[in-house]
Amino acid sequence: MSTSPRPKSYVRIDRSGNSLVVAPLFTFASFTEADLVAEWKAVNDQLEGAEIKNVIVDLGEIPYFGSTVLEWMVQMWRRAKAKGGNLATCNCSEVGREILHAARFDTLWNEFASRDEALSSMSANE
Amino acid sequence: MPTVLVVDDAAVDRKLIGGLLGKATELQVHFATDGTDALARIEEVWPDLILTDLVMPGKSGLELVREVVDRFPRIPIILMTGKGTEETAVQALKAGAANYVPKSAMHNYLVETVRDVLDVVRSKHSHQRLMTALRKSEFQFALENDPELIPSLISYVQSLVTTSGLCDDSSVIRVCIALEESLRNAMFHGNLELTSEQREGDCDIYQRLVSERMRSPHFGSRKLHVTLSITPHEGRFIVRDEGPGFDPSELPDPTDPENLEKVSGRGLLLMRTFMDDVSFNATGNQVTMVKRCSAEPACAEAAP
Repeated sequence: MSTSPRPKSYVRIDRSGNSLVVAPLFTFASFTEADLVAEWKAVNDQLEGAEIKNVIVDLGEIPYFGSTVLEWMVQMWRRAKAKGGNLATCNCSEVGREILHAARFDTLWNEFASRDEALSSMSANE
Repeated sequence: MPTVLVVDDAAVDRKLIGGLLGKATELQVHFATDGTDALARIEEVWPDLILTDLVMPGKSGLELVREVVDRFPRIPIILMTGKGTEETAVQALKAGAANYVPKSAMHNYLVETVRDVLDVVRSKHSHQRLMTALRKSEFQFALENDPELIPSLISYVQSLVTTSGLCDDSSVIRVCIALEESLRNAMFHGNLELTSEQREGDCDIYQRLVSERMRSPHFGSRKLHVTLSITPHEGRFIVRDEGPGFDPSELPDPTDPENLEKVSGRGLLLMRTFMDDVSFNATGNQVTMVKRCSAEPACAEAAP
C-alpha cells in the first residue's frame, strides 16, 4: 500500500491569548505563489476570529525573505489595526532586519528577540 | 603529506589509532590529549583533518567541534563514537563534524573514512583554487512564463555565485533576494501584464488570472530572458521581459509614510537595497543589476 507524501507546509500558526503567532516557513527557491494560496487563507481565517487582535510574525524559521513575506505582513498588520491591535516581529535574522529597515517597517512594528518577549509585550499593552 | 591530529584522553586509544593510521603511510599523525590541548596543537601543526573522541575531561569533543567550526572552518573533524555517546555525536554532526567512526569498528573503517574525508576536502580546495582562476562565466536563459522555474533558477544562481567566490554567503543571499524580485516583476508585471491592484485583490481570482494569462497565446508565449555574467570583480544580472515595459520613475516610493500601508510595490526597493547598481533600459522592460566583489584583496589577486 502506498501513501501520498505529506504536503509541504509553508506557514505555522499558533494562538496565544488574543495574539496570533504566524511563522512563515518559505524562503526563495522554495515556493511558487500558487503554493501559498491555501496557507494564506488559513492565516486569514484565524485572523478573522473574534478573540484575535494582535499578530506576531515569528521570522526565526526563515533567515531571509522577499517581498512576498512583506506583503503578508502588511496585510496582517492592516487587519490587526482594524481590530484595534498591532503587529510585532520576533527572531529576525540580520538580513531580515535589513529588509525590514529598507522598507521602513522597523519604524512601524516592534521587534523582539524571542516569541515569549513579543507575547509578554503584547499582553502588557492590553 | 596530509596531517591528522588525533584527540583522545586515553593513551591506549591514542596508541591504537596511531597504529591504524600509521599503516596509511601517506598520513602524518600528531596527538592531543583533550579539547584544550587540541586547540593549541592546531596552531602548531595546522592539520588537514582532526579525529576526536567525544568524551574527554576538560574541553569535550562536542565543545572542540563547535570551536573548530567557528575558528578553523576549513579543517574537517571526524568523531570517534563509543557506546552511550550517540546523542552527543548527533549534536556534533549538526554542529559541523564531517563524519564519525564507531570506536568498536575502527579496525575496519577508520583509515577508509579518513581517506574519504581528505579526498572530499582536497576536491573542495581544488575547486576553490580553480574558481579563483575563473575570468568570466556567462549564462543565458530564455524562460517560459512558468513561476515554477523561478525557484530553480534562483537555486542555480545561488550555487553559481557561491562557487565563484564573488561574495560571502550572506551577500549571496542578498543577490538572490534581488534577483528573485526582478524575476517575479518581469514575469507577472512584465510578461503577464498583471497589476499591483489585481495582486492585492482576492488571491483566488488573482491566481486564476495568472493561469489564464499563462495559457493565453498573447501573454503566455512571451519569454523571460535572463543573462548571468560573473567575473572575479562583479556579477551582472540582466532580466528582460517581452512586455510593454514601464517607467520606473513613476513608481510610488514605498518608504514614503503615505505608502507604508500599501501591500505591494517593494520588489524594486529590495533590488536597489541588495545590489550595488540597478538600472533599466529606455523602455523599462529590461533591468540590469550589478553586484561588485566584496573582498577586494581576492579581486586584486584574481586580476589578470
